[in-house]
Amino acid sequence: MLGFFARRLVQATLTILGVLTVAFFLVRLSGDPTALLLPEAATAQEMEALRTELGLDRPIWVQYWVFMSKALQGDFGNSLRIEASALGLVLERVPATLELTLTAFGLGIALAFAGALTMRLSTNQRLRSVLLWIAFTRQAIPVFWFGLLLIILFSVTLRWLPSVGRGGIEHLVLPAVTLATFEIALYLRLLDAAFGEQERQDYVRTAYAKGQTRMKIVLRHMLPNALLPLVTIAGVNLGILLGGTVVTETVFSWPGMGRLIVQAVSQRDYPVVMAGVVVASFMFVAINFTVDMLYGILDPRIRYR
Amino acid sequence: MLGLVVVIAFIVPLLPSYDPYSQDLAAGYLTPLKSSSARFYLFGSDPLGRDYLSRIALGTQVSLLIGFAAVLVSLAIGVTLGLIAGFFRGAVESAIMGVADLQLSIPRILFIIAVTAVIGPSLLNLTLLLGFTSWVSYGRVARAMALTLREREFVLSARTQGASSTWNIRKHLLPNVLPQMVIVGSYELGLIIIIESSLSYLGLGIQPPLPSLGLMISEGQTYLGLNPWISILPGISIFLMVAGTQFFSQRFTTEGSNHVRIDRAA
Repeated sequence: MLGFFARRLVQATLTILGVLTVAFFLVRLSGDPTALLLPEAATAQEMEALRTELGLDRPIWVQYWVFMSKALQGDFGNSLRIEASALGLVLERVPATLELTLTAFGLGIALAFAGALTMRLSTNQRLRSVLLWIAFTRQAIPVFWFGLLLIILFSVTLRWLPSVGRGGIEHLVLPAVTLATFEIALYLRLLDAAFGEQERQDYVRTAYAKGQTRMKIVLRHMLPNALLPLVTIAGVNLGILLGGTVVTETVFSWPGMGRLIVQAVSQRDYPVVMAGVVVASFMFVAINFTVDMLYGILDPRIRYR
Repeated sequence: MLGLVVVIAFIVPLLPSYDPYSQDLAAGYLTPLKSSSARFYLFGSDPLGRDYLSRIALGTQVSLLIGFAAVLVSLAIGVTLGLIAGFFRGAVESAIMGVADLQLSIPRILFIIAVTAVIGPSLLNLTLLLGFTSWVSYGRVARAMALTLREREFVLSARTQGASSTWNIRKHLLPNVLPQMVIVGSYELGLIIIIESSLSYLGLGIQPPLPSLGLMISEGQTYLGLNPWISILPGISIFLMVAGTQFFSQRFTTEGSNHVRIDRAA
């Protein structure tokens, strides 16, 4: 287990370094920031001085080294628009994003489990096909459009819930439901497929043969095995969920880091964009690392690969 | 379903009323089935009084074209890298799969947003970015298939007769993985259409004056109380396209192998 842990830790670290490298080259590609930072009337000497100050006159590998060592200390430079550190601006928004993402994730997983178990335990085949059909349909709808439909129904027409901003629980309902329904759709279909797979296994047939009740077979025998594929997908899916959060935050003007990144892009505020993308990737890698560990505990076979 | 949308999107331009660009400010915000003094608007009009049916048809065409182009780019990259990784194994395989893992660890939308911030939004940039960031699912499936195919008799016999690796990959591996790639591609097409419309919604995708479904939905958000149809109608077109592609790919994968299903979710 310790070796497995160490291997995954090395992998996660390499990934973070890779993301930082990509960020470095993107920032360099964006061209000379001196023109953006100085007034238009600046002289050639002034621009040269700023370039030296920013270290842009040094060889690229020295710049790379400086960027990496600074980034690893959490220094992505200051925002080009306001006097504040880029990382600070991003971290300020993290709680709002976590609140939205985790609520949607929890809600989605819980309801998907409830739905999948109901589908398995009931003998009603029509219920199953209706639920699967709804899930299929929901997966074909872009998050932002679904959010707008909810706004049209619950904010504009019925006037029950607010459509913008963050505040009490009533502000959380629409964006969280928007994201959660996407999660439910995905996990409901995955769980159903995983259950279907288990249904054909020998151990299930044995359990039936010795007269076990269906309730017990599904909950005690099939559920733990059906969990495994779910854990793998959950890690990868979080990336999609994070992407969905960026869009959802914009739809509902939710003050999270996704909205900050989108605004920073339109203001050409590169340090903030890069800090945001790196922080998001870091969260994603950290979660995937945890998921891997969980997987190693749930399924001992995986540790020896 | 996809066929229906394609047919409609390409038939509407043949209608005499087709006119996605000319403005009539007096006839703005019309709800569907209304007519102004000048003409009848089946789908209503946008805030600048442009015929919404025409704009949706053109926007749908643009989405489909970008989607197909991006799928072709990513399919070409993914198949090539996947087959090379699976056929040669060793260090080449580790390097390619390492890049794939790295790419999966940056959420796709965020990565495209970051690059767009630097190189600027344009039709070509968008298509290429979507293509470059979507090759991983093809690469993984192609590699998995190449791993078993390279041990098959026809590949071994070709090799003993002195066939080169390139020849083997091109003549023996490629034809065997292509059908599977088309299935992955049809699923990816739906995903790419969703991502493209999301980026356009954020203002980072297709740029005006070219109509784009995502941007039209975002414009409509300001007028939800006045005329919600401006946001509703383009979304229906996106939904039909994506549902169509998923329907198509699902019909082939329900009996298909398990790794395809898992890779699709990835």
